Amino acid sequence: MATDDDLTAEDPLGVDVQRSNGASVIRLAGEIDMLTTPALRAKVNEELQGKPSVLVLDMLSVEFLGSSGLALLVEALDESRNRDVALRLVANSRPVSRPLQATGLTDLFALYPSVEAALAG
Amino acid sequence: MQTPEPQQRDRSSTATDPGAGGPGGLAETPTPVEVRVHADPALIPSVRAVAADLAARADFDLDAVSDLRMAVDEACSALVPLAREGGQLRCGFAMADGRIDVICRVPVSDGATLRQDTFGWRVLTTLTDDAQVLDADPEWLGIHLRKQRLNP
Repeated sequence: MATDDDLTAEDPLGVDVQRSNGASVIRLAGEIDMLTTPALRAKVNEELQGKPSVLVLDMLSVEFLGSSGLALLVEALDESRNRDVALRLVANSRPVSRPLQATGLTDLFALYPSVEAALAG
Repeated sequence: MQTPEPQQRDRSSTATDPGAGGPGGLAETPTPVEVRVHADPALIPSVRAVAADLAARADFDLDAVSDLRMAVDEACSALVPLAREGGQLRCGFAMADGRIDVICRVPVSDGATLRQDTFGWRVLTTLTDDAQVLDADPEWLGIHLRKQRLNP
């Protein structure tokens, strides 16, 4: 299990990575904006470089998703296709679903209501 | 309850067209609510929270509240990197006739411009009913957003 030691509870965005059976799950909690996106981008790229079969972004506890976060999701999708990784988003609440819907990005992504469903595909 | 000075009252009546700016230029555009913070990315969450709170109190539906929060975040995120060292981010809000007008601006060095060919600007125009760059004032650069309440 790989967990971030350098993140504290005071960070506006919590990022927790778990790997098992060729799948990576990045659990996000808090706000994804211009302040927190760079660190998240580094983490997502690190996971993609490991070429898991599935990369799940668990966004159930995300409270805000700004345009920098949306741009990161689109980049991650492109990169996941280049690397043959199945990128799956877990999101079922307004702070994530509304930005995706309002910007017309919903159909680009494989969306799941739970991590279990995302891992099962 | 305080009665505003005649001059102030006069100015607030122009708040329905905040893009016009006041006698003090873009920096002193009068609106009923204004938030001033250091032009620091770490303070943008507070500004967007105020925007969402005002929209919720003005009876905007939850999607519209989310849209405005995101649009204000985007406007601030675009402006803050352009602000002069030590400058303030100022965001004014005017609620009238089922809509919210937001004017965000920062002091800039001469010649600073706001790119409108970015993903962020597209998001901003998608989320609002109107978005304009305010660049008539050489000292300040701003963005005027307008969001209508969908439910009558």
